[in-house]
Amino acid sequence: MFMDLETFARGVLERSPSVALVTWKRISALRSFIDHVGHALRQSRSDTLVFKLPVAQLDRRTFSEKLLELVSRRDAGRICLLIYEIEPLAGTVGRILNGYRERLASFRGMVVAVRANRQRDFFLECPDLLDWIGTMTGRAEDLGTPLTLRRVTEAIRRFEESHGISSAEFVNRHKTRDRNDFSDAWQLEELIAIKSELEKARGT
Amino acid sequence: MSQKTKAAKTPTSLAEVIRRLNPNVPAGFGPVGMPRTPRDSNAMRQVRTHVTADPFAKVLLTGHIGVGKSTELLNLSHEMKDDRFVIWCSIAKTLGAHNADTFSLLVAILEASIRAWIEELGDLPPGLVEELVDHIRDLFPANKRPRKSATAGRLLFEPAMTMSMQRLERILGGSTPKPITGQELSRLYSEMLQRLALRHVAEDQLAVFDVSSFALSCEVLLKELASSAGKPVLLVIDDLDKIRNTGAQEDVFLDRAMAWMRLPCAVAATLPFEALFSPRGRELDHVWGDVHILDPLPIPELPGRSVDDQELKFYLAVLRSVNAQDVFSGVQCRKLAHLGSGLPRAFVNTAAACVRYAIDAGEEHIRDYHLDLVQQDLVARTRGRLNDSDYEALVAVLDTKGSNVPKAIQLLRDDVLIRDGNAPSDKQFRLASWVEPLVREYRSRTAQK
Repeated sequence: MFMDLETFARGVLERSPSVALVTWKRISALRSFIDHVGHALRQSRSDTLVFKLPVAQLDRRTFSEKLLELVSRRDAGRICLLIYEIEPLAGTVGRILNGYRERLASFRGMVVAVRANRQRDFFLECPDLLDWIGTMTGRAEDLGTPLTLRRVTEAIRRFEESHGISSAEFVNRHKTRDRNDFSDAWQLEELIAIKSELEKARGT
Repeated sequence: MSQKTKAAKTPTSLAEVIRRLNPNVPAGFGPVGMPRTPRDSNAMRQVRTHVTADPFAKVLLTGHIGVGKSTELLNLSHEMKDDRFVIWCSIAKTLGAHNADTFSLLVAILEASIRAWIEELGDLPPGLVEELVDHIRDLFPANKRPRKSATAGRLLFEPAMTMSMQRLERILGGSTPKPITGQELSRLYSEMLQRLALRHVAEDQLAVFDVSSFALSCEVLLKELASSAGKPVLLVIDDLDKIRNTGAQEDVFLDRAMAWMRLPCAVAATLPFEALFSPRGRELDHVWGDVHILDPLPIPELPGRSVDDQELKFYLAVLRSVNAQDVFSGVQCRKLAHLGSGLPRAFVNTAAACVRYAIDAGEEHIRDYHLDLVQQDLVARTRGRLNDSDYEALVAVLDTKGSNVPKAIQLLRDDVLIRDGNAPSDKQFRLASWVEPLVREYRSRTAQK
């Protein structure tokens, strides 16, 4: 089971055939995962084409058609397909994916996201696909919120505004052992530390 | 002086009062119902606490017919509207309580859930409609169809069964398109309910259906509903307390209770009161755990002291809510409360009966003799319905201070024997006011012998 997005993305693209399952409980976690996984996949292999297939408003026939359309593309071998919002027809999607399992091997990878309380309905209909999934699983709550430099910088800025202190001043006070008298000072400390690490990793 | 103020000063006519005294819908149900009068109830406090704390709570509310269960559950559903997606499922309206069993209950839940979804959130996703239609197909799975035998042949050619099968076949790929939208699916479930309500499919034919697929439909639908609504679901099922058939009671609340107990939502439902005292009543505690009894209202003493008596307040408030405070005096209200035996519906019924008598007599106000007439009517109506074995059972319960209730279980159901959990333990069982004179007569008759 994967706990971070980078490792997950690498894992998806290293195997063949590759099918991964991501469960979620909070919709915000799913959204965050969907927003960020494409970038992580492309970072791992830059020629990966990320296609997203939200299923909520589709019926069985349309979902089948769209899936077959993608799998028939000449560049299917570069495609990593994200299938999400499957819950209204979780059983049907499981059945269709199970049925087209061999054809799905044409993709570079496939990720299916399902809400935790419907995963059993999905599993019941795709016993063969489960063999391919194996341990390629993760939770959107773990995978979906990578800390990027932009997000951390934004969080620090908001903190500075709300407390009326710049992070440089904060650090100075900390160095001179002057107390920073607000209860969430520890959060700013953490954010500054994380920003420093991200900048190092970026080479800035 | 404004028009509104002028109208407020005009005495309420008896015709207006009787229009508003409607005992047939729960109070607070809207323009056709009376306004709800708040009441203090330990049972409802506990129900509210449980349902608020646990999004998957399953609670049963029981009590005498007319004690106010529907009113209080309706009030609960209004209170919970912000935190829960509330589905109101009234068995009496869609199916008829006499037709209820686990299978038809699941269909009623499905129909109510889809209707609520469409009303509040718009149409269902097409994929979900397809899944639910697939479950209907599984109702009559091929491997469960009767084998070709003489009996099965007769079964298959029973007209109602054939029509059901034909209907299913038409829906599932025949000439008529199968449901595609939520509206069409809702219509299909409504038609099923109508057929069940009209006993269009006989019991032995119903036994062929595999109800587990409908249970699965309910689970899937409620999970998706909670996700789409962004809040947990509260399913309120009313009128299950009106199931009189013992077999149906056991089917719904005991034998196949798991079909709806495992639904992924909170459930608050009514339970027939006599089920608690039936031979399998103790099993209910094991299966459900949470059964709450809504007790009758306290009855003010006759004669009373003043209109400020605590026990009288609720009844005065009910009359005020329908602008009948000028029509009934405080003393008359007290007598009405006594006649109603602590059951709000009986109170409203007797008040309406008094008003009818007054209108018939061309009076503008209620007279004491109107109440006497109503009391006589109640006694007379009950007299012909009780026999000596009923009186024996009643006396046995009263004299043993609450033992032998199973012997009088039908009388408990019919509100002849009243159970009041708020009374001292040796007085928890008492007679309805309209039965007291009859039991007195019986006692004096048997004493003379």
